[in-house]
Amino acid sequence: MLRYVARRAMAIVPTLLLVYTVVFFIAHATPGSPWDMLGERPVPPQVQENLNQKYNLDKSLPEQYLTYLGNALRGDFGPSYRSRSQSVAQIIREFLPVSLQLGAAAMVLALLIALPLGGLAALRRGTWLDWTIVSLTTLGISMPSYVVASVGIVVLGVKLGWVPTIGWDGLFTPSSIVPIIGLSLAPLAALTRYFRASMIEELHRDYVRTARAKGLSEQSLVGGHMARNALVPVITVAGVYFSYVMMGSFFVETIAGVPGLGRYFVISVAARDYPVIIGTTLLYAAVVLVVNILVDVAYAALDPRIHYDA
Amino acid sequence: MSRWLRGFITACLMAVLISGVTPVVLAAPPVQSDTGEFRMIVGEPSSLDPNIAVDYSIFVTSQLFDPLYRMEEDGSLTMLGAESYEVSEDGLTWTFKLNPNAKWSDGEPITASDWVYSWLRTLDPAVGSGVGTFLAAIKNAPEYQAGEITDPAEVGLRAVDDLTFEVTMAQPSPQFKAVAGLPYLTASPQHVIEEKGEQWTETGNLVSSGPYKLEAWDHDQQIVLARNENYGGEAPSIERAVLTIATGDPCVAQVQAYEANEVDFATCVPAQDIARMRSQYPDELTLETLSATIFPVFDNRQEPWNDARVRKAFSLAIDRDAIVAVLTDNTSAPAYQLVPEGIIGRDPSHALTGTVEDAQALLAEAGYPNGEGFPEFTITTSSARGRKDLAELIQQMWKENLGVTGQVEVLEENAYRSWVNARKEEPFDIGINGWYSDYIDPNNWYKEVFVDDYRNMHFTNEEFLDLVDQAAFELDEAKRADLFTQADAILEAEVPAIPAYYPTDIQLRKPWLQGLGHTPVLGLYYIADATVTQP
Repeated sequence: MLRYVARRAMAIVPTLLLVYTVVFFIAHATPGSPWDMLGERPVPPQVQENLNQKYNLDKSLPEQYLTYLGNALRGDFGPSYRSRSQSVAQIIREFLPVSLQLGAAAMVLALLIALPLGGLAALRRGTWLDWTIVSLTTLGISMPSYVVASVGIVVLGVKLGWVPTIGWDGLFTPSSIVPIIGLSLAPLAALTRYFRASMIEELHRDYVRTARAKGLSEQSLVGGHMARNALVPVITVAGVYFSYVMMGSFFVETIAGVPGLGRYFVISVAARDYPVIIGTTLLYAAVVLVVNILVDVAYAALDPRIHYDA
Repeated sequence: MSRWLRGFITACLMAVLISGVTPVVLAAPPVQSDTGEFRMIVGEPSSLDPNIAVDYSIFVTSQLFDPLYRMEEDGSLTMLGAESYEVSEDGLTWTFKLNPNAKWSDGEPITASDWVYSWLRTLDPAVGSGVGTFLAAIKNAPEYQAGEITDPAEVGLRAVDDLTFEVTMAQPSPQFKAVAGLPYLTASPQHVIEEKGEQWTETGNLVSSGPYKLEAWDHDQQIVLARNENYGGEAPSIERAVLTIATGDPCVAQVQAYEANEVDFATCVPAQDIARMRSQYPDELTLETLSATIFPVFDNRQEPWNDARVRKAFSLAIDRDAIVAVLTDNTSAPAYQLVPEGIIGRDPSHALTGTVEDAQALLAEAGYPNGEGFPEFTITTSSARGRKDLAELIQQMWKENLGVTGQVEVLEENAYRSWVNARKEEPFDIGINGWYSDYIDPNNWYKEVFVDDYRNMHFTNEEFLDLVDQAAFELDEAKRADLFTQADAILEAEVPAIPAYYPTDIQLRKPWLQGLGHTPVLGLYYIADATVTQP
């Protein structure tokens, strides 16, 4: 197991390098420069030159590529162009925790509702309850998060005055309700359906029949055996959603005014803030890669039949 | 159920109970802040350094830092950093007597050397500020900014003594009276900047000179301003201001927060909400004049745009009433002149007049009867709200009225700016653009927009250039006005760009908020001028 994890961890390095290369060149190939944002008056050429010099943009692209890479390996992701008093590291330190908190809360909420709901639908397959749950999840999957967040703000914020329309006062405040709901809806709906399908598959397994024949209580059969087996495929999907909600959603964070990394990433693209674009993309890639490894480790923990070091 | 699963579910339940359920028990939101603080929504400043920030950051920096004075709408001056000023007879030397009571928010006195230091910063190539262009008239300033002169002592900025700040021009510069009051040209605290470097604008570091000081700047979350106890001027009535930071569409966020009574002031209303807000808040919604014009520009060098008859035909063929109705719900005024009201030189009699039939006749005269043989052209625009719609509207009007075919090319905002900057050399057909006054002086329009060609329209009318050149250095006010009026006549007759409409700021103010103004230049407001009636 450890050897497997080590091998997978080593594969992260070339993947990140590839991501860095692609992002670096795409960012620099996008029309527009960070200095076009300096206001409505033309920026004197000398000022542009000096800014380029200050931020190493006067060098050739391959040279910039290597310099940034070298600095990044030493943990220095450079200064932000858009926000002059901040560095990329500071920005990540400041905004990542918010996205992480929000993502964790949304994921917990999604799992907590999705698993019982999916299990219930599977056990009551073909009944009106199953039908209702499946219809609701279809609705949940097809509703974009920004619609949910916008409607949430208009109804809960503007009309009812229960939550603030904008801003973030922390996880345990009314300000987190709309973003948590907005973020959790998609994983909630998807996980419900996956878990339902997976449970239905388990219902037909031989061990279920054996366990019932041997007189195992329904509760311990469903909770202890079936759910555990049915979770294995769901973990994969949960992993994907986990990295998605953890890194924050641009739409939800923007609409609800949550200072998270997802929102910052898009702001940096609009501002051609190259170091922030590269830094946040690398971070996102790293999170996805690590979560994927964790998912594989979770397989083995859930299903003793899965071995990696055979 | 396995112990593992049960434990997991219990943990999840606890987490959700804490995070999701607790907040449902809520108090109703206050109608008005019960502490009397002022609340609004702003965009995240790119910087709070007044000598660097030129974007919407100035709405925050202008609460924190005082320029020498403020030029009011009627042209009178409200003295702030300066107490008085005088100009030498040759118009070259401007001497500002500084306010002896002026102090930084940390209690240090503000001296003339702070002013020299900060104005030099805007020119310093190493600082890379876009503000320096405003000081281009000062002796050796452009040379210093370009790196041709490295000794700052050669630049026409001098601290005569602690309270005398002297500015020497390269040429007589009557426009400098308006320029010197710009919100970017404030003093900045040398003693703090030299110690903290670029971090000086952060919470705990920033030292200000205006009525407010920075209590906190939580990036992309909020900015809190508190009364500056060391302020050298009159203390503001509002003690504390909470500026929540919105990204995305700040207008949508502001209107929602306004309706929920979370803010006392909204600086804009999105187009789709104008009608509703007008009927819902008739006493709170105001239309605020801006000194600005939105205008599509031609590449005046290129065929067929180098023919004034074509340009006139294109200008006469658009229905401006329809434009303002569609784009702004009639909150803006249609523009028949490039230069907006309030700028010396502008004369309503110069407006181009005529009908669609006249436009067709002009186009026929230029060799394109009914648009026949007219080359297909491209209208390039940014994706910014309103701009793209304007491009599509005029494309349709030209098609219907002149029989010519244009394609609309939409670029993302930053890509569009870059596209405009590249038009210095590259040819184009038509680009949607506009100009918002930086300061109230004809120089900002006739010289900077049309002669210095900030929008790359390449308008080169010898007589016009000559008149503007003369007017720029003319110290006699009446003569100067006359020269600009002559230039204006040529400008409006030649149509280097098409005046479309004069944009307006649509704002909302709660009834308990009084005295918060709006300047036509840059749409600034000063929290220090306002009062909030105590609940």
